[in-house]
This record gives sequence, C-alpha cells and structure tokens, in this order.
Amino acid sequence: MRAMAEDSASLELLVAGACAGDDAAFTRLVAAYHEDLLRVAFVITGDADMAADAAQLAWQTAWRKLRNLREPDRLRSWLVAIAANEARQLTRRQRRRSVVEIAVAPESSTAGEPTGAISRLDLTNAINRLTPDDRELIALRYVMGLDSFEIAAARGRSASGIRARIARVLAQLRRELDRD
Amino acid sequence: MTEQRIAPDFERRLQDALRSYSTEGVRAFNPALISERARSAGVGPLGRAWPRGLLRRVDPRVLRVALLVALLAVALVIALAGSRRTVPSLPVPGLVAIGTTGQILVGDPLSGRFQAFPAGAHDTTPVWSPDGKRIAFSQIGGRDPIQVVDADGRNLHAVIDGMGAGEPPAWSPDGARIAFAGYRYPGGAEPGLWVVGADGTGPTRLVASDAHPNRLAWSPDGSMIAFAQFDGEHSYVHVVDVASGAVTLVSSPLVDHLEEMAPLAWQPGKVALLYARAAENLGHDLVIAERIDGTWVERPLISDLLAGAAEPMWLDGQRFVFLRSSLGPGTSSLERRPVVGRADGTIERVLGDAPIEPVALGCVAPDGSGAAFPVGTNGTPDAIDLLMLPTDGRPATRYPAGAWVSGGVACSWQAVGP
Repeated sequence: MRAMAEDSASLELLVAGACAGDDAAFTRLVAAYHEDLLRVAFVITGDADMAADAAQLAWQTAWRKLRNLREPDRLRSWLVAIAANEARQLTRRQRRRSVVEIAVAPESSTAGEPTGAISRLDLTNAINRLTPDDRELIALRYVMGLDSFEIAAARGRSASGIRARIARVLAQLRRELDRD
Repeated sequence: MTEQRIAPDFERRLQDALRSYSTEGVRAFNPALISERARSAGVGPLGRAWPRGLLRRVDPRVLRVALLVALLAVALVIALAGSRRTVPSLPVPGLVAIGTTGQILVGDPLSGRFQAFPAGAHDTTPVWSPDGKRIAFSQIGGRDPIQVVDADGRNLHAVIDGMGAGEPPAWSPDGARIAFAGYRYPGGAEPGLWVVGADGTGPTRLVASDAHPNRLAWSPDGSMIAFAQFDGEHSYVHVVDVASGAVTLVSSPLVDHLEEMAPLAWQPGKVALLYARAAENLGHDLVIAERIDGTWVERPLISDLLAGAAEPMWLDGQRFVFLRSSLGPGTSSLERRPVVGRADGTIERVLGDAPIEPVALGCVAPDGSGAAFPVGTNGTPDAIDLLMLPTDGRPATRYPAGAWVSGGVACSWQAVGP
C-alpha cells in the first residue's frame, strides 16, 4: 500500500484512470487507502460501524470530486481529510448521546503493552472526553502522521492555528494520561 | 513535509497508543460494494481527461517558447521585488521575541540581528515584561512551570516549581505578577487560572477550572484578567476580578476554538475587550464588549467577515490590526491578510500586498506604527522571517530571524528597556 502511495507516477495514472471512469483504477485506490480512512474515522467516532459508514461516505465523495484533486501526490491527505469530515459529521449527529466512561478494561487493554505505554482504557476514556474536532486533529496528526501544513490545507485553516490547537489538546491528554 | 520533528516521549507514546487503538476500526473492505455504492449515488468522476493528456497534444516548440516567456517574466518580477526591498524599515526601536520549539528568538528587527536562547523542549510562548527587561514563557504541551529569562538570555529560571502550565502567561501591568493557566504537577490537581509574583511568591489559584483557561490578558489598570474558556462546544470570554476572584461571563460564543491562542485585546483607555466571535449565520464578527454601569455589553464592530477573522490587536485606543480570511482567487482555500480596523467599525487599510501565512501569533509595535508576523522563509517552514508591516501603508519588509526548529506559538514586541 505505502509503496504504491509513494510512487507518484503510478498514483497519477491511477487517479487519472479513476477520473476517466475506470472502475478498476478506483478500486485499486480504495484497496490502497481504505484502511487509512477507517482508522482515522474510528478515532473520531469511537465506533467501528460509524467508522465504516464514514469511510463509505468518504469514497462516495471522493468518487464525485476526484477530478478536482489538482495534486495527486496529496491524494492520501485529501482522502483522510474527507473521511475525517464525514466521521466528524456523523459523530455530531449522534453526539447527543452522553459520553460514558468505560469502567472495565477490555481483555486486551494492557496485555503485552510495554512498560510506560498508555493503556487502552485510559486512552479510550481520554479520547471520549475530546470534541470531534479535537479527535480529528489528533487522528490526522498522530495516526496518519500529517503535519500541520497538510492538516491546515485540509481544514482550510492556518497552520499556526492548527499547531496551537494540537498543542493544547496534547497538553490536555498529557494531563489526563501522564500522571506518573 | 518538514514537520517530522523527533517526538518527545509523551507524543511518541501517544502516537503508538493511537495507532494501535485505531486498528480496532479496521475491517476488510468489499471493492464491489464500494464501487456499487459510489455508482448508486448517481455521480462519478467521468469527464475531462487528466491535464497530462492535454500537454501531450501541444506542439513542443510552442511549449519551449512559453517556457522562455515565463522565465523572462519571473526574472522581471524578481528584479522589481529586489528594487522594492530597499524601502527603509520601521522607525520603532524595540525587540521582538519569537517562540518556536525549544528556543526563543530575540532580536532587533531594525538591525536584523536575532539571537536564539535555548528554552526547554517544547513550543514556547514568550511574553515581554512591561519594562522590556524580561521574558516570561510557558511550554505548550510541556509539564514545565512558567519560566522567566532576562532579555539577554541569562538568568533562566522557573518562577514557581511543582506546577505545569501550557498557555501563554500574562504579565500584570506593573510587572510584579504573572497570570498563567496551570495545575499542580505531577498529578494535575488544582487546575485553573493562577497568579504568582514575578519572584515566585504568593501563588494563588484565582479561578478553579478544569476547562483550560486561555488567552489570558491583564486589564490595563491591573484589576481584572480576561480569559477564554472552552465548554466542550464553544469558547467564551470571561473576566475575573483580581481582588475578589469573582468571575463574569462576557461574551457569546467565540470563533472556532481551533484558531485562537492570541491574548484577548483590552482597548487602551477603556474597560473594553475586542475579539472575534461566531456570526449568527455564517463567518465571524469582530465584537467589542464594554463594561457599562457594571454590566458587560457586546457590540458588533465589523460584521460579514464570512471567511473568518482572528487575532485582533490594538495599535492604540482607536485602531487595531486583525487577520481577515477570504477565499483565494480561483481556489477553495483560504488566504489571510492583515487589516487595520478602527473603533468606529470602519476598515482603514489592508496591510501588505500579498496574503500571509504566519507560523506563529503576530504582535504589534509598542507605538502602534507596525505589526509583525513570523512567517516561513520563502514559504517554507525551515527558517523564520519576521514580516514587518507598517500600519501607514508602506510596503512590508522581511527580516531573517533564524532557524525554525518547528512549532511556533507566539511573538511579542517590546520597546527597549531603559
């Protein structure tokens, strides 16, 4: 997957093919990036079903708007930004449900984690306390590895504002997770 | 891109945990389903061929001529730009401090001499003391306390130990005290808005709050501190009376909380605050909240800022600078321009001849004659230039400020101390 993503020539051809209506090309794009979309959407929604819906909606949007993508090299950040947006909207529609702290650790929450690692239980609770906007930021930054310029471009905001907000979210998470 | 700094320990552990956590959402995909659903939406990317195909059809000789013309045009633009860089710089003596990751750049933009002071491991938020002799800063994302360093980089020390702080601090007008958003560390107990003597004495939690008070600004008479606080949906401006600790809600919801870390702006000579808030329908309004007969009253000052406004900073009692966003020509991306507005709600002028993309918060000259924004050199984030914009409409001037490690949170401009 990553090898294909880094091969800008083949990526450009795939995008061009998908734009021209080539189902096979579009399917290859889906195969390459679907997991990325699901992972980002899951961090934002906290729910695998909603994440799958968000990814599905994101591909529909991508199918519609792919020809507007002027820089195929930015396809991955463009796609995950679309999925993040869909996930954020889905979450907002359902956010009236109250946030419930997970009181019982999942079976695999700490098993096999190295010393000093953040437990799954603590992380889940801390993420649940963030807004969908903030979950999107940390998903794009820390799960997808996008930098503030890429996130800013995706969100239509300034890179400095994105950095400031990420720093603030980081401080909040650190205070909640890093009470050593 | 270039922001691949080595993550501090917590960031690395968080990244590991998040990447592992995110795999819970991964499911096998069904390509047929994806394709079918996309098709069932009744839309598709069918249409124009990719521009590469267009280029192939163009005669190579025409391409060569077009390239030559483009190169000549670029050379002409560069020559013209070079001749404009001889414009004399701002008349205001002063020092500017720019916070980046792990260092503070301090320098005199008129001479172009900047010096880097090491300042911990995180993004720093320098704020000059009122007498221009010291700089207080916090470390965003860090667990370190508020620290103070002399203007020459010496005497770096924590103001108070055993407390973490993560927002830009605020000096009292007399320089005797520092307000900061902090908590006990380790443990995170007693979060809120704290005030401590600049010498570390008398720490007091003025506002108990787990909602991350930020954008602290001490009123000119020292009796109040304005701050913003996020309630999970929006940020709101509050004011706390320093003597009594009484907190008053001032504002309706502010602009998108993603944007702002700038201190709230007290209007010189009045008990009034300037800030951007979410407009009723779309975009932002710039608003003045003024205390009249003990009650805070909001008054829209500049409305219809559809694409957004941020960072209003007073130049004097009547004029202010803010960043106005708008859609770039022919694109769907936002671009930002510094604009001088007036207290009567009019726009005086747009500063500079091009959009800017600051890498840190801007600052204004002590006498209001200019505004400065840290920007990436040549549009890249590898080094910082300080873009100085005279508020009388003269052309902007760039001054190289130094290497940019990464991050970038704040800039502060102060007159030279006696």
